[in-house]
Amino acid sequence: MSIEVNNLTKIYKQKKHQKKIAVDNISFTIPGGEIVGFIGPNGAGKSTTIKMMTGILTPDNGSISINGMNFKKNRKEIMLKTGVVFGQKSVLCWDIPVIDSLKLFRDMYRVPREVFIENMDAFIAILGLDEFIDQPPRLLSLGQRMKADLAASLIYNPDVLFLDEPTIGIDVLSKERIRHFIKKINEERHTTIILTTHDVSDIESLCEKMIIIDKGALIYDGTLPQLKSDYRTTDLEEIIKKIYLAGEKRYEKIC
Amino acid sequence: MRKYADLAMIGIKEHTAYLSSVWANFLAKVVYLYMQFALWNALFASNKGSNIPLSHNETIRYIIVATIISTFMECDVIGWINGQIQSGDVANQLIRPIDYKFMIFARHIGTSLARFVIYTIPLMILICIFYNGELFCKKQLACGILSIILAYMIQFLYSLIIGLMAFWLIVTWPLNMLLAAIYKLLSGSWIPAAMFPELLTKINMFLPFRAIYAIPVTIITTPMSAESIRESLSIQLFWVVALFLISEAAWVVGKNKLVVQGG
Amino acid sequence: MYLLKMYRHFVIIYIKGKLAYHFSLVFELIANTIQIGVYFAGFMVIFHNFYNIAGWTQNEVLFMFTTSWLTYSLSCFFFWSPMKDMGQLIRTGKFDLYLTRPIGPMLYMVLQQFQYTFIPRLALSVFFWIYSMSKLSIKWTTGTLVFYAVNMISSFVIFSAITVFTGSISFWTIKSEEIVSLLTNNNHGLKNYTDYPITIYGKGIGFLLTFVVPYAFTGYYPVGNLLGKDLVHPEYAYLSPFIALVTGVAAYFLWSIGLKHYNSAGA
Repeated sequence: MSIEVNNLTKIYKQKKHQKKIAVDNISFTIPGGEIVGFIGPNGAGKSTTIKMMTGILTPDNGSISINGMNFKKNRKEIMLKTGVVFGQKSVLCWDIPVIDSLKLFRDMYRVPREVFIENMDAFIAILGLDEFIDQPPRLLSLGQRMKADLAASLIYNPDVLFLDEPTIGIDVLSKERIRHFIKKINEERHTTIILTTHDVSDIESLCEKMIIIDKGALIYDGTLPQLKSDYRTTDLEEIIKKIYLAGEKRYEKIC
Repeated sequence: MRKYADLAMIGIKEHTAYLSSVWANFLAKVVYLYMQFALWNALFASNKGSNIPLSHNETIRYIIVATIISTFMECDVIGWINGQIQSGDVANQLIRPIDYKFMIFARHIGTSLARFVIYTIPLMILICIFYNGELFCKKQLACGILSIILAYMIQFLYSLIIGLMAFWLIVTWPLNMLLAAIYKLLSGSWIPAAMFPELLTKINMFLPFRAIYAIPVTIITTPMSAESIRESLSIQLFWVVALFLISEAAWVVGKNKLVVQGG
Repeated sequence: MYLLKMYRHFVIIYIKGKLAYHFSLVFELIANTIQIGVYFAGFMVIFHNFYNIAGWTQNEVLFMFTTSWLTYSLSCFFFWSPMKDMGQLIRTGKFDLYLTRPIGPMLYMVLQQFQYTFIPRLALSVFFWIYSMSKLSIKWTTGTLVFYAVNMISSFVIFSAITVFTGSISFWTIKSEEIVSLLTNNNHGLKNYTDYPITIYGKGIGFLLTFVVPYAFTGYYPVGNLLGKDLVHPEYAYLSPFIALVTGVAAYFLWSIGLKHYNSAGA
């Protein structure tokens, strides 16, 4: 599914009639089946944008269209086709075995039995889900928990997957597996994936396309190779640092 | 002494940190007191001439004074100790150069002082405005205050013992909830103990609960003979000593358990 | 059908999760039973010395407040826990997760749990409800049965609406627990007032419990009418369904407005 974002704006009202423009007139298009890295420094308006794209927040201005559908009219249809994974907030039931949570999602999203079995086999093969599927999340390591969360959000074959810092606090090997899994899901199912992260290697290994925002404004929207050739270096970390620094300087000038 | 005063200050600050909840707590007290007031007034109004152990006036005075006392008597000691034992913090407390029980007591006094200023005084002012009549038996007031001090100590020692139960229990709150329910009824903070049926009065004889509310409130509100006052005070004194010994024993045994298990 | 199936699934998971902590569920039920039991014991102690209150006998009062408690417990099975947790859900951002589900957030929260801690209250209420009924000679006819049943449903709606109302406040002020507790807490809240005939509190409180926080329609008015009590406004006894409708609609709107506010302001 493709996502089209037009003139998206979000303003937070703060105390004493102060207003903070969190997202300022952003437009971009994400074609179906792509993995897009969505990055920006802390407080750039990243999570506000993601919250609007997942229907948690309603924009003050502009529109979001997911395959031609919008949240006002087709909320339920969109939700059935969207998966959301927050690195910091688990969707799993804390005290019961992972498999029970997965079955719950199976029924909630009305997943046909054969699709469920097929998906479970795939998750077991790639993520090694069988090692901890009978344990409750409270006994799992962070990496295992993230794998279980990914499985829970993909068990119903969503067409769009939002991943908010999926690799935060996770060890190198688990990270590697999780990235491999994300890549594979994207290749096999053509799931559109929007990934926010502070880990440059996540982007390097997963994303073809990148969207960079800072201070609520769109800074870059294009491919990763293009960005590298623009800055004449292959060191992505260096590029991002430069962009963030430039943003800070611009901000100081305005003030 | 300085260090205990500091601890008391911490108790005060902790309690006043959440001003919004202070308001709600005070309102809750007023709501509760008015309900008690209306309830007992209606009961006496509807049953004139019945044979009731306390008079109308005595009952109203009783529930007012009991509610006033509850504003500073209530405490979080059980929760503090449970929490510190379960989280293992108690081991850190042991290495400090202060006696753990005194430390808790100092903090408790701080909280009580804060509660006294925030809740007790305003509630008393409110009552002075709306209730015309003598609340206290003036002659017995000195004994009454002594009795409140003893009750305060019993309340603390009781909470200390229940709090230390966390050394032996994995989950403490079911016990706390159970005891809180029994406490509410038997202490006489809800229904004047003189109104209890015989069986309940007999059970209560062997328990410390009535020494916390029923005894001091009765001394303050109901005219009594010097002898019964002396008897009441000695019952309280007995419970202070008994609970002190039990709490010391619980502390020593519990601490050993902690040392053996290594926290 | 789908929702029923989901509810069953959710509840099984919920109980399974609780059972993971060995006996804590059993202890919780025991502790609750004792807590509620002590309240009934206290009620009996109060009436040990007195025969009636404001013209109501002990068993009439008991019948009135168990009627109200029955529907209250049932309402709390569904609404109490989600609304009590609203403040915390919003503070921690967990509420966001409910917004990304194909089931609406309110429905989701109601379905995903079952507040079993109200079972002891329900069980003891049923016990004393039957006990008080056996001591009273109520003339049950088709008319009174229908009247009583309609009022039970209304009172379920009224209790649920008040709970949802208090929970919705969390959308605006994050620290709403105290307000909720003041209105709904059973030990020192306004709800406690409805355990006795409301005339004992005077006109002001009577008005408050009738028109502002309409707890009086869950017990006092309908049961008073059923028992042939001398009510100040006998006609109010027939207003319960209407009050239920009003509070229900009001709660629905407040919740919707709150949700919209949350959608636009975030936490």
